[in-house]
Amino acid sequence: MKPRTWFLIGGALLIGLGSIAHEARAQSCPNRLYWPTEDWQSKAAATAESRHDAIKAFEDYTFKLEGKDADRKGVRTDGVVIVHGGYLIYERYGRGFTAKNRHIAWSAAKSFTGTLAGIAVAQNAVKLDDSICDFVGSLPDDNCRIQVQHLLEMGSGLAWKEIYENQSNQESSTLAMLYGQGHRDMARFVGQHRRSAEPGKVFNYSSGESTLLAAVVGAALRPRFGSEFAWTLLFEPIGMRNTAFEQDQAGTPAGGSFLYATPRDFAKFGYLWLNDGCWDGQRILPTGWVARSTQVADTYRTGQVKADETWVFGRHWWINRAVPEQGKSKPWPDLPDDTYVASGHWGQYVVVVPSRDIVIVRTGDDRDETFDFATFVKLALTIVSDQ
Amino acid sequence: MLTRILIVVALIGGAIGCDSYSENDFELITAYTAKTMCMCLWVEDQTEEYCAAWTKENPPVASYRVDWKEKAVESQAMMLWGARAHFVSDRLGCILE
Repeated sequence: MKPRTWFLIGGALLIGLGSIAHEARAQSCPNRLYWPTEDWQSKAAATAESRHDAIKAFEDYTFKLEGKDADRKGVRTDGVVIVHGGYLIYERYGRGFTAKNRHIAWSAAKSFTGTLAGIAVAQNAVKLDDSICDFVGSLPDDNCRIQVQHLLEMGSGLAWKEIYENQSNQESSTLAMLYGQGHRDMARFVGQHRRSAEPGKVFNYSSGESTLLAAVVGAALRPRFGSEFAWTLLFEPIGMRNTAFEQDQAGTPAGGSFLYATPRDFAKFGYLWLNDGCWDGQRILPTGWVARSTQVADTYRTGQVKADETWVFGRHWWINRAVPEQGKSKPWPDLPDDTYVASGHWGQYVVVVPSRDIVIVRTGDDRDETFDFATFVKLALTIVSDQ
Repeated sequence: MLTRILIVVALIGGAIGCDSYSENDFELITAYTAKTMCMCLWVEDQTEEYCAAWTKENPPVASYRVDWKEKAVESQAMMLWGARAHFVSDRLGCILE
């Protein structure tokens, strides 16, 4: 054999071995000194001492109540938990809440539903290009062109009006689903809507799509894991044992809104994502799922997006990325690029910033526009570092 | 009194002339009140006083009654519209009937 041939074979072997090593790294899970499955270990007392000024500035913004409670004015924080480097470094509650009270997540529940979709993929129960009609029955044929990935990206094309209180109640698809004609079988209600666009062509943030996604995931996982699949596959492994996830009369989890947990437990969910979908050496989400979910969704990048949509969507997470194709800049320019958040109505947030190794949870009841998300996170980050 | 009558007419009329969904505001508000009171009391473990304040809608047209024994909440508006929600379990929270 000529030297050149040996050289080529050796090169190929090296490339192959390198590729295998890379794959092994990609699939490996982060190491931590401990995992908070039972509870968080706390460094809050030491932080309170060493970061007094930063905490005071943070609390002056976050826990300053205005006027009478009945007036529902200003910033109304119910709880904050901050986890840095795997340790609880800050925790405080307000307005009658304690560490033991569960709090509604509202739309932050959507990120849980996206997580359950990832778990269904990991379990080979769902593929991203599966039709939703493989899982949800009695839908119009035309809606069978909607795939699982379209729901993950809020790109089904269904004609849906995500309207809440103080607007036209009768035009609100969301209120009709949760409290009106759709409440008994939410997924069927959502799936019966006509499409106003081709799947993947229009970004339209919708509690209906998260509910439909929850129905898909439920139909895929229930046969193997039972009706408590969300607890078996997600909540119990990461220690969110006290989580409530409500269902409609058809047994579909209300995947867009009705999930409840304590702030400490919400922080465990953020910590799962901070650790690339791994928990205590076990890979819960598929390799690459976290990275893909925290990039700009294809539908958001290439499809039609409302001009007044200032936040940027990944796959069931809000992310801090510019989208030049849409002429949109980073939604929170003062925050790290890799910040992403599960966000819910009236001020519920699970924030993850991998570059700072931090998870920030905030529950609240903001009924006006006073609370500023970016200001809150920026002040929280100063508790960890002056930068 | 005139104000109340005008509010009622406006709320019922909310559904008229709209081609979207059929429920009027009374139906939506009573359903919201029953469901939200239920989850606030037995999922969030809050006090009735807190839950009543948190759930209160504007205008406050819905009244509620708590069935502590059955862990259920009934809500009513104008004696014509009503809804009921009950607690299912610690994991499944409340359900609107």
